Amino acid sequence: MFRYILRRVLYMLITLFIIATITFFLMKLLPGSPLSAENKLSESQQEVILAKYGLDDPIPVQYVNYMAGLVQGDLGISFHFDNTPVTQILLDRMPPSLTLGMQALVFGTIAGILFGLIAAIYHNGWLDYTSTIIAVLGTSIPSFVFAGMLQWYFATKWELFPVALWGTYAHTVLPTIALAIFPMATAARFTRTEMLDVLGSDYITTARAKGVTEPGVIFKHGLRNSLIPLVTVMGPMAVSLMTGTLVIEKIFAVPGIGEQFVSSIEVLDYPTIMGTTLLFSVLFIVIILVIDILYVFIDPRIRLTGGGN
Amino acid sequence: MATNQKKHEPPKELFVPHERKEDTSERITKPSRSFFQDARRTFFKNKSAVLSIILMIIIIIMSIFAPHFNEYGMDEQDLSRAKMPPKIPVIEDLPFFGMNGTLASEFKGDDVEEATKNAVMRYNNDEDFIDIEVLSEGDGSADSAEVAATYHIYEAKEMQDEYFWLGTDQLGRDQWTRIWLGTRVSLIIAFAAAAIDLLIGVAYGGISGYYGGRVDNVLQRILEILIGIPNLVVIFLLLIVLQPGIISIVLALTITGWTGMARIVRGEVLKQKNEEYVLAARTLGQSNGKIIRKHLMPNVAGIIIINTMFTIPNAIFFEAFLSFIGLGIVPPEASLGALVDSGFKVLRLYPYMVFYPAVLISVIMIAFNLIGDGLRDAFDPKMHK
Amino acid sequence: MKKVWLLSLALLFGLFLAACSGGGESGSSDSGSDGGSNEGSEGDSGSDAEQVLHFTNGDTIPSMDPGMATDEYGIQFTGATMEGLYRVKDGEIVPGIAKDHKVSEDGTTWTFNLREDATWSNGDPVTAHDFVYAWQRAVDPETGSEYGPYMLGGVVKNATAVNEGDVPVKELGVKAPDDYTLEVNLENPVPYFESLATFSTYFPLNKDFVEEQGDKYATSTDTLLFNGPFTLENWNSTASSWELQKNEDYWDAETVELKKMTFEVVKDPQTAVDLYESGEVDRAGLSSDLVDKYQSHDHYKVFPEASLFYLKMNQTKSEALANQKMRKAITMAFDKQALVDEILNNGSIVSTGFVPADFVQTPSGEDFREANGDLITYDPEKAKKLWEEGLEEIGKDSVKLELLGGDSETAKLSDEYVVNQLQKNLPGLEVSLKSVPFEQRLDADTNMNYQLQTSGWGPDYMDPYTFLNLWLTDGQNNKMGYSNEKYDKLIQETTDELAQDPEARYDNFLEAEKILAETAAVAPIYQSAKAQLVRPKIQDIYFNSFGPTYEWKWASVGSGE
Repeated sequence: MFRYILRRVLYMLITLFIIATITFFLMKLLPGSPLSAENKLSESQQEVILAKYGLDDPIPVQYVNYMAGLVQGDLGISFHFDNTPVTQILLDRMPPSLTLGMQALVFGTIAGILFGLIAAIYHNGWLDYTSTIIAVLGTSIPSFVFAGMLQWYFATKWELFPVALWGTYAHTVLPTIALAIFPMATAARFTRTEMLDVLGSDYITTARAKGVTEPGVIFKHGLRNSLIPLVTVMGPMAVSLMTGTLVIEKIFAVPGIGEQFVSSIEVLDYPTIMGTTLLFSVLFIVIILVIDILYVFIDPRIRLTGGGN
Repeated sequence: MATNQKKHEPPKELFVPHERKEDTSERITKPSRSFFQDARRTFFKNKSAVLSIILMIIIIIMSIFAPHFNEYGMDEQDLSRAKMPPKIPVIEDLPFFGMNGTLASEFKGDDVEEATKNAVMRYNNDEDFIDIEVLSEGDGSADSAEVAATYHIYEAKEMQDEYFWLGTDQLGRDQWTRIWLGTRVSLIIAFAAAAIDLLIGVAYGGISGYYGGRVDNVLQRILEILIGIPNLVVIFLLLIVLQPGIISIVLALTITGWTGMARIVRGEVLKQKNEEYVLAARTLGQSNGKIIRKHLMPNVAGIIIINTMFTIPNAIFFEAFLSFIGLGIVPPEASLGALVDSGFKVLRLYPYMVFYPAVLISVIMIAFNLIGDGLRDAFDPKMHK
Repeated sequence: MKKVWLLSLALLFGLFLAACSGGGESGSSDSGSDGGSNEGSEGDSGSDAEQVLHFTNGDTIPSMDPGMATDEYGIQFTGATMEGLYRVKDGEIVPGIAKDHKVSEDGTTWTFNLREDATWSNGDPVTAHDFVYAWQRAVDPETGSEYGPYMLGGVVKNATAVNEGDVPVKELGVKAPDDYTLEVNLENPVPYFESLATFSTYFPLNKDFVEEQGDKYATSTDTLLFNGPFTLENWNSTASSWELQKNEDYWDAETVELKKMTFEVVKDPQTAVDLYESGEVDRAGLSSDLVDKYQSHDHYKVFPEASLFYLKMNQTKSEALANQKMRKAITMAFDKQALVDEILNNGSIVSTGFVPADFVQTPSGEDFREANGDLITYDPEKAKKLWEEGLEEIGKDSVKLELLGGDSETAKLSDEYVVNQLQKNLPGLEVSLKSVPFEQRLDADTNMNYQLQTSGWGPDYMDPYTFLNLWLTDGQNNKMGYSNEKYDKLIQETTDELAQDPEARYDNFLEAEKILAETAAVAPIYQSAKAQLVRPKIQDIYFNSFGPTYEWKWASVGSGE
């Protein structure tokens, strides 16, 4: 187990290194620099500005410097926000996204599992069809359409929640629901399929024959085994929920990292784009690792070994 | 002992010669069917999947021919007919379809007169073409009176004889034409992305899984790194570097999109290649290529097809998402995503601009999802009855 | 503030910008949390209205350093929290830190008398040395300020030389003979120097404080000093909400009535309007579609601006655009009236020249625009004729061009429209559209890497020169290969030999504008305006055509209607 994690962490670092390298050189290909301005800058000024951002060195030197800074947690200074370190921008913008992402993940998964469970238990009944329809709609309707509807009905029309902005708990409700709909639908579909599969298997029949109560069958034997494939899909989804919430953040005016990422792209703030990219990658890789480890606890058949297979 | 034995011998007459009959216990009473025949049968029993296929065929045909059903062009602008509501012959006379070429809304005011005034101002002061219906008389307090106004905009603009089936956009372009052309663009992007994912993913996963060992190890490490890069980031970066357009969107979608397919194919190939039939084929001296093509491929085909069916709606979804954040298709071209996006901004004002493309995009997504579900059931032997 | 900003921002964010102002809501200091609606709340608390306003802002404030700010919001909020020699009140220039000034006979030496009761928010007095330090810092190449050399260069003596590193910083033509006298030497007589001196680049800075903070200066509330009517609270450079509070140490604090203004970043206009309707904010900008719905609303207001939008034609990247006839054809080939009426729909007006309407007046009191009339109007027949002649001259029968435009919804629509019009009215022309974010367009502009571009300009001070110096051969913002000797000469004269002679100076401006039209420098499209919903109880927020968009010093929350 320990060896396995160690090995994975090593791969993680290599992956991050490669990602950082690729993004670094990709950024060098892109148009724009702190020098583009409406007004011409004098040559001595240009030199000062380039020096400020370390752009006066040859690119290989810049690369080494950047990597060295990276190791120390220094992601450089934003081109857009005057004298503001990228790390500060990330730290400022992460919390709202994390809050929303976590809430949506927890809420969406639990609701989805419940829907899926109900659908499986009442297989082919109207409850099954209803929750299947909800699940299909949930994966099919673009999230911004859904968010727009929520905002219109729940905030503007019925005035139950704030229209937008960030601050109190009430502000998180609508964006959380809008975000949760996709994981909910996905979880519902997976749970239903897997539950049906599991409930039809021999050991469930055995359990029933042994006199295990119906809730016991469903929760202890059925659900636990149905969760394994769910964990696989929910992992990457967790990352996209915490990072890719930009559409929702835009609609509800939430000062989150996703929204920040898009505006950084708009203003060609390369240090911030790079920093955000790396942050997303770290999150993504770590979560995938966590999920692989989580498997061990859910599925007794899986044993992690140090080897590759 | 011997005598005793004799004593207990059954009488000879009890022995009846066995009549030889054909053995029926092992007989196959049903016609024999191959796996694929079974799968097809299961699939066609699935009503929602069949319906979805028919729906998709109709949508594809419409996306090819529907733009030519009327005389309006894709980029035929005319600001004098901007933001016209939908109006379809015949259906315009059936009130509940809302396709009668009118704009309607409710207006509030302190009294009926003021509410009416608000309504009239909202609709260009064309009093002659506005029907007012009083909903609430009001008591003189703020916004207590309410009227429903219906504005006959086609008549007001003296365009009674024109029919914009799904209305027009802010530049006066026919939405029917644009929606179907947009569908075409979205489907092209989706199919192209799915096809490329399929090609690369199957080749990569197949090679990795089949050859195993060192090859597999190297390929898997590369894959791990690629999977580690959040695809949103790559797509953004690519779309900044490349000229926007259909090709770059497809490229951006596929550059990391194929990894999922590769992983699934590899897993399946790993499983299949240790099956006895592969061993048998190998023992009989079949070449690697032939084993892959003739034996492995048919057996992993199911999972590939299913996965592709889920790739397509994802691509459509992602393209819509790119449009929403401003990295989508270049105007005047449109995709369903771009249409939903521009309509979304006027959702409350001109709901028809977003309604039809949103419905279409949702229908396509649902259809592909249901087809995918149907195929998954069809390729699952447990579901064959 | 010169902002192409306005261009991309106004288009896209037309609503947003608009959204960043406010109105008075009566009982609302804690209204943010439950989103309850009190749309009709104006009347509910009577006359003892709380002097608090709530606004949305279109984006974050990237820089609060008056020397470094280049964007709309940086200029807006430095303007609200700091003060230079003068302020602008409803188009009039009124005293700020300077009480009055004397101009030498040759017009090149200005002596300002500063008030002695002005202090920084840390208690230090605001002195003439603060101005000297700030101005030197703005042009010092080590600072890397973009607006420093732009605003001071060619105006304050030696500014350009200092910026190029040719002479030491202390040679800059600004001196402090004593603590409360500021002496400024100009390169040439600059009749509009007073209005120039209201701009944030000319604000004073407290040297000790700025140097103590170093790189951290102006990155958060704690690293800022204020000498203006308001202080900025709860802000750092990435903050998405912040407050302005009345600065009790401001020398004219008794004039300032507003106690507090809150700001939240909201980028989506529909969201801003929803917040307005629910009573959480006091002003909301309207996109053109929203105007359809709200134009009959009691709170609907249109604010005209002095920003011009036009099509730049890069003569170095296309044979066709180097041809004067073809350029001229383009300037006449699209229907601007339909564009402002149907697409912009927010009070914007058609632009027919190179200086906006209602901006400056000639010495005889006539509006500049009226004095020169409509120079470039929509005329498809003439455009077609000129275009065909042009095609013959360059010996081609078709031309392909790319139009670089903004990425806001309104910008995209109007660019699509212009492209469509050009293709319809000019046979053989094919135009493709590329919509990119502002910064990317700026980059393409800087490197002259475009053919056609929709661009815009807002004035930096109250003088036609702010618009008419754009197209000088070596103009910093030309970047399209336009050059006309006669025009250069006319404009050059207005800054030296004619600087003291308003009549002749304006004659030159009028003449120069005619040359621009004659030679089709750019194709004017429209002069912008903002449509907003504003609470009626907001009083006396002034709308500036240059510098900070809004002036809040004299604003107050009234009793209602």
